[in-house]
Amino acid sequence: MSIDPRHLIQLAAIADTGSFAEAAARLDLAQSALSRNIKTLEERVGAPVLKRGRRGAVPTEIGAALAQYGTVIGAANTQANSVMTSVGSPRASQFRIAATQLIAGNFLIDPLTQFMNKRAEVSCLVQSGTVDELIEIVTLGEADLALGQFGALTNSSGLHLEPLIKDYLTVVGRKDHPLRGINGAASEILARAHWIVPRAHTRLRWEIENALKYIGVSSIDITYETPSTAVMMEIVRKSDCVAMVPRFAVSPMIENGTIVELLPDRTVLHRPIGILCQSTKRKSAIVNSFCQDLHRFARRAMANATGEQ
Amino acid sequence: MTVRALFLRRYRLIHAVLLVLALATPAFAADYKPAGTVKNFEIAAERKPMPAFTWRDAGGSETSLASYAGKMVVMNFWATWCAPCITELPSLLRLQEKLGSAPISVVVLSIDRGAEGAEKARAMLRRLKLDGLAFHHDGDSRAYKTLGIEVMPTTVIFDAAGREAGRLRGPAEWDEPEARKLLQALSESLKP
Repeated sequence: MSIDPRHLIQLAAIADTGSFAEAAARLDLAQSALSRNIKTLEERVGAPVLKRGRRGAVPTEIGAALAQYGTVIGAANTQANSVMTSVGSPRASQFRIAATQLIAGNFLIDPLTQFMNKRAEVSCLVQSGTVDELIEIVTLGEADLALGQFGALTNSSGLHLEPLIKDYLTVVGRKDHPLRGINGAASEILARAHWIVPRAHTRLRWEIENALKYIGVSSIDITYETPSTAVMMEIVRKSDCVAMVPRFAVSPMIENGTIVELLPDRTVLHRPIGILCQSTKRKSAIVNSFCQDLHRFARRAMANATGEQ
Repeated sequence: MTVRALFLRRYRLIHAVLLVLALATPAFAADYKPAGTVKNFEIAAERKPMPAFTWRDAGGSETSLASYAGKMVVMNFWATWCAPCITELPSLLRLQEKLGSAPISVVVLSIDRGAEGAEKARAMLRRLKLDGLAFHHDGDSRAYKTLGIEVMPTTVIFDAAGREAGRLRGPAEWDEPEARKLLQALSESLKP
């Protein structure tokens, strides 16, 4: 088992100060953590590296030899850090992601946390916005990539979309909704239902109107308009109103039975969740590596959702 | 001089001494360059009075920078959907613990929307054992918009007079020595 060089630096600090408390303060480390690390070091060496007494901690013969290496490693570490600070580009290891809040909270957070844990040198900035805002952010180069439900967006206007997760619009109602299980005459029944919809002139509203036309519903009775999917679902849950929403956004509510899909066999408009980036700009190594992680994460999520191996 | 004035004067003096002790390294305001994980901190070229903005404290009451008069404020914007923000929060708790009674307040401000967002953010602080950080909520993004925050996480530092001393876009290890040097430099160079 190899020796952790950080433990040698810590041993050198104890040897130098003669005290666990002073060494911990110098290293900006909790004393308990320092004691634990020295114990690990002793287990790896197979012999005590310090003699603990009333007058403090004194290195043993082998401890003194190891502490010397610790001093050398510590000095090299300090020099390397000063070089990095003086010549390093301040944002060389930073990348910027934009996402809708829904995607950021329900999809992005786990792979991004794992990526940052794996690549400690990488720093990340997150922006949130509507799908239209994300498109603008990427177009202006204010983010390296964006994650959202970009739907029918084509790979034009200098933008490139990599689909990650299949998603579609679905019609939902409360648990035990009277329209549950409607079939052939769906369009007429849906036309008479009370609807909660997103505000006019938004991308989602436009997509919903197109999807309704596609299934033969030319006009609907709108009870309430709101920009918030959470508000839409709150009303749907407590009334006979229905709504058309992205399946991904309401998956947890469908899975826990709070709401039901009224047309489970009609996936009316596919709008995949994808990575949007500039088609002309080459991805940096960090962004590329993160996108690969996202694809792996999405494949696992899809496999879990469909029960595939 | 009244007893109250004398008390206030002594109170301010004690706070000034505490600040110096808490950040006990030599003063170096003018040629100071941020380093470490706060190296991208943008020091405000000019201190300007801030437009008024409010947010909700742990008890749900409206609060503002006026409540922190006489103290430097490290205001961190975070959200439950922002992975780098969550990674950064523990270091803000450690900073707060290290500052002790120094006249510097750490305010972590969740921008999760509405009452549902507030509950989600509170639950996350509990789950991550970060209850030591008082809960503050900017549920309608008033503070976020007034300060022109664009990316998350962003940390804005205000001087004791409530003026912006600078901001960092991106996460940092706020309890590392370089971050504490930054606070010292700001407290030295940005005295009201």
